[in-house]
Amino acid sequence: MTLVYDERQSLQGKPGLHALIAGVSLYKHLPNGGGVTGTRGFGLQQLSSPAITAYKIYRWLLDNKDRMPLPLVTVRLLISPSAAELAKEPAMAAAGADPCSYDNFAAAAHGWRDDAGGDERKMTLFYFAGHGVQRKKSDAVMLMDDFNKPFTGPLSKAVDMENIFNGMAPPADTSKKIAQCQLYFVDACRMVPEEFNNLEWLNVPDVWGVDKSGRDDRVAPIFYAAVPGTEAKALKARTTFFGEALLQCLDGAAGEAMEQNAQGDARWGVSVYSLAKALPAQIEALNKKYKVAQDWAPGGLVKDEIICYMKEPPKVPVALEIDPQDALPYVTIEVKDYAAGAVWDLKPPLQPYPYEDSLPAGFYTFTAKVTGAGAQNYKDYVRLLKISPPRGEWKAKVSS
Amino acid sequence: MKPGALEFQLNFKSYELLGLDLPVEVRRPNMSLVARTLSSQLLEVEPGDYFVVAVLPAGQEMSNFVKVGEGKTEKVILSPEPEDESPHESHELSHYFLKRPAPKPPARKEPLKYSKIRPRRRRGNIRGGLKDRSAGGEKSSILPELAAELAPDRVPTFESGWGEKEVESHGAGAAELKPRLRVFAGNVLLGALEPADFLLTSPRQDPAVVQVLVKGQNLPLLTQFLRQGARPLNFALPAWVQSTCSVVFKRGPGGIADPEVQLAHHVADLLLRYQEQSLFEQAVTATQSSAMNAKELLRDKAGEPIAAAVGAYALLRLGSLELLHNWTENLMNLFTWLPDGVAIRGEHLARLGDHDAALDVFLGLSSRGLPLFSEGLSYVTKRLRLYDSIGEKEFDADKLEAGRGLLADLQRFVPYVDFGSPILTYTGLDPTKPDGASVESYPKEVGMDVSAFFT
Repeated sequence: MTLVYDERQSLQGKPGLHALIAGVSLYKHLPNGGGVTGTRGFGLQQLSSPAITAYKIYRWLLDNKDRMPLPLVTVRLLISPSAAELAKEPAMAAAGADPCSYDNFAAAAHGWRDDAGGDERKMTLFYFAGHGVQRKKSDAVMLMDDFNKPFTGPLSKAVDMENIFNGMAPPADTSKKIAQCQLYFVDACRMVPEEFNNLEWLNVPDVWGVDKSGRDDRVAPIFYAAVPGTEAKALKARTTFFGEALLQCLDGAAGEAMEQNAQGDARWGVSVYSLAKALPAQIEALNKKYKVAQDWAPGGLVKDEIICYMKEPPKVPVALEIDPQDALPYVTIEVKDYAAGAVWDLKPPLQPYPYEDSLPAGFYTFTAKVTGAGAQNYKDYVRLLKISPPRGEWKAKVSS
Repeated sequence: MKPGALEFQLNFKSYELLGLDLPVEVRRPNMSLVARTLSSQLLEVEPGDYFVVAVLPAGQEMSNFVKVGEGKTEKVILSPEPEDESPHESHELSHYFLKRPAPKPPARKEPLKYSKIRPRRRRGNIRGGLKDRSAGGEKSSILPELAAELAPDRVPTFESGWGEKEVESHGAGAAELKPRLRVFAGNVLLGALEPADFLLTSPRQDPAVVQVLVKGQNLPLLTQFLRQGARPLNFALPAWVQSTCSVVFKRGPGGIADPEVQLAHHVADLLLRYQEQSLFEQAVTATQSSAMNAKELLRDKAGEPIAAAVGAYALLRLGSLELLHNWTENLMNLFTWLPDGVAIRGEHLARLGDHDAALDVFLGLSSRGLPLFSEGLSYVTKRLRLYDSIGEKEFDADKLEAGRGLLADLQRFVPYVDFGSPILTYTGLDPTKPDGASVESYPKEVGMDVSAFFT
């Protein structure tokens, strides 16, 4: 079964969100895949993070469906997990997902597109994690779990992202409609294997035939985990770096206040543009942590649209420092929110130092108040600051 | 209650930036968004407290809080934080606009080889990793200790794609060559390139940042940056007879970094850089600047075709088809030397669903040359691939065949293009025959000696 979540009956055709999520870690025809190994594997090996990442994206959707701008109607989930991932996340086996073979993927994609049709107010989400290659630097080819099957063409069990994207374009026949908001996430490498240089242009089978489209003004951003010619990275049996950064963003790191509602309160949400702005910072933080060079690239039609709402402002890590540090014994830190409510009152000496905690995103007045004998060389320091994801930093400059 | 208003003042040092139409964001104390507007605009607001912020493409933020009284207009002064300020007035444009990390020049460990050209060393991993055949192992790039597990590089060597005669050979142990900059004019797709070094102006010497102005012509121009042991970089030059562009060099601890190209039209450059940094909210606001008004940019043949192309690309990318009107048709027809006019018009027609007309337009690219912006190359190649896959049931066979020929020409460049750079950038010693080879030797006297720009 691929359709692991189905509310079509209860929603009776109302516009909603249709998701297609796929993750391949176990490649049957690559070494140690359990199947007969083919001869055109391009040196690729088994993976141990894409399936668990796809599963986490699916779980995130289920757990946060009330935050989405439209009701969640269907989720199609295809995962080919490694043994390490199943050991780490046994619930994956019970999710009811089919393996992500080419045939399963193609069938799921057709079902997904059918569900996305009929009403342009609908919304879709596509996520793929697994091996990816490029034939030329401007494309992205996703490899399914039966890639490198003996007696098949080199990329006969692969899917071209362009084919998916073009096939989801609004039809020329204006009486036929399709979801106007389509979000794509491709969490795969975009390297050109050396062997490709020695081969003619490699054909990838079309998942669907593409006809001339009609007017195409979709909201259809593609978030690629890697810029052309680079690789996507992951920790063994853990979420891919891109997947991790994406989930952090959806959980608040890309949260931004929007226009206020009728009650005068700020509404918070993650939009296409706020995600595009926040992803680099989250990826950069992971790069620093793990000393890697994961990159990302936006593609498709980068029009803004809300991806999910937030129930409250995101929590933002905040670091405080006193400059000069010699003033530590004399400085009390007071932090008030915009309504003048005290949120922190930190007596000297500030501990631990540098002080780190988190605050809900917002505007705050930071006051470093100098008191006590020996404090005559220092002075109070006050600043009104915007604290917003991914991180807030404040250095109280108390030198007189 | 009588509304008040906000007016904005930018506190830069250089006149170019003082006059910039910068996107600004206005928020209430509860952080709710009031407006995204431009620094040139007066913004009417209810009396109250506001936070105003402007983000520059290189990441610096300029912000201020302001209280607006009933019926009052408050001036909001936006200044860079002291630690973000440009070290010198003349460097402000590159300091606040260009963020791309300055790569270190490649370290050369081996003696020079006679006329040998080798591709830049590249990690051979694809998530999980390519098998490390050189070591016979089964290594994986999966972390932890990812760096230690990366497969060693494989570095095949091959000869230059450009005639050996034209490459000065120095042989092993030859003296190090200085990095050089040269200019070509003409249609790369037709292989008709002529040296045009005379278009380069000598910059004044500077210890850190140097801008070389390039005088334009009504021809596609490209500049080539040659550095011994590295891949020659070819940059399209968005300049024409009425407008220059500049090639910017920065010197850091690792030496002189690869150059970047900046447009003469600062708002267009700003728009380009916002998109490069995925600051799309700011990009959308920048498209609304009066400096990016299509009617002004394309008023007649004395307009601003490069800025108009940047604006049209942005509207296509940001999905604002309704704002394009006849912008793309005028751009294509008024400036017949500009390849991007074809790429933009064709993509616009395709988005409108007129694919036959789009194919007709795209076929005109051969006679104009490679687009100056990578977005244009991407649009044309993707559309031609799509039309080829749709096939003769929907398109005229002869035109489709011509499209295949054009696609084949363009595909030669695609693997060597840096699509992360908005201005077309690709590698290859012979700009008409792109490749991924680094160069060990080149004529000493071509173009300009870049190291001489720095004091």
